[in-house]
Amino acid sequence: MKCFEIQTYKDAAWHIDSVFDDADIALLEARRMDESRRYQIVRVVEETYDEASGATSCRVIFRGGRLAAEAKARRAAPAPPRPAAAPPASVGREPAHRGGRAPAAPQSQGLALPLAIGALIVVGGGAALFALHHLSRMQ
Amino acid sequence: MDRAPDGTERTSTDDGLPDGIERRLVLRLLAHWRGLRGERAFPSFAALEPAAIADIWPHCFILEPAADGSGLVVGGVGDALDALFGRPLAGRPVAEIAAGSLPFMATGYVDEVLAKRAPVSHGGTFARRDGTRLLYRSILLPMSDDGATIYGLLGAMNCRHVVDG
Repeated sequence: MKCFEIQTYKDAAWHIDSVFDDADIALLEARRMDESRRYQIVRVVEETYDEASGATSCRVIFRGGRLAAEAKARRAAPAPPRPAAAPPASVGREPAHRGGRAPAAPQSQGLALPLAIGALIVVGGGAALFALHHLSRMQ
Repeated sequence: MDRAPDGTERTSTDDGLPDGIERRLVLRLLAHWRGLRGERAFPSFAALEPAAIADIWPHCFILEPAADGSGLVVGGVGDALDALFGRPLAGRPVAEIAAGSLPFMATGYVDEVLAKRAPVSHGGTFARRDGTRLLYRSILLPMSDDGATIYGLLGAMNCRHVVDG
């Protein structure tokens, strides 16, 4: 024995809106409620009662509502384009910003780290040579 | 193709409703019930205006508490249902409606409505004594005076003859 409950989600709880003994009518009404955009979430739950065992099983056969529609729209929307690399600074003009994003960092700042590493290698290497020379003289 | 017995009432499929309007009577009544309810759990009988559902009202009936508190009784029946049932039901206790009868198809699931605290619709096929079969759909909708306690039920039923072919 089956029944089909249309349920809506409101105030952090599920509420039974209406109950039908026919899936087609329940789905028709649920789709109408979905299209009205008046409900956050609408679902149809199929309840099957096994008279032999006395057990009831449930499964969701329809899900809709404003939240589902919004999530679907987000999934379908194309990904926003990546911002283009900042063009070389032209005389007297700043590159235009789009969408409030910060402009790309100037290239001079990108060299700081390699230069620092290079300086460290030079200093470290020099110190190592000095130490070896001193040790050789002691022997 | 088999023909229906002579005298079988045939109903026109032209219901006069504009295109795009829901034709299922129980769904139209359900939509009306939701409009009456607003933000409350259930609407009140006082808010019910038969003139607003003039095309549905003849197919409606009301179940209300008996004066002695013994259960629900049929408070009123629309003209179309009176004709369909073939005998007046107003004033009759719901518990005395014969199981298996057409009125029982419309009123026999009151307990389910009270348990679910929501409108419930049942449908099916009913075999009449004259050999004709009816395809019916009914609905029971909970009503309340205070918006929270179920006081009575608004019901509706419509049918059409099934012609075996």
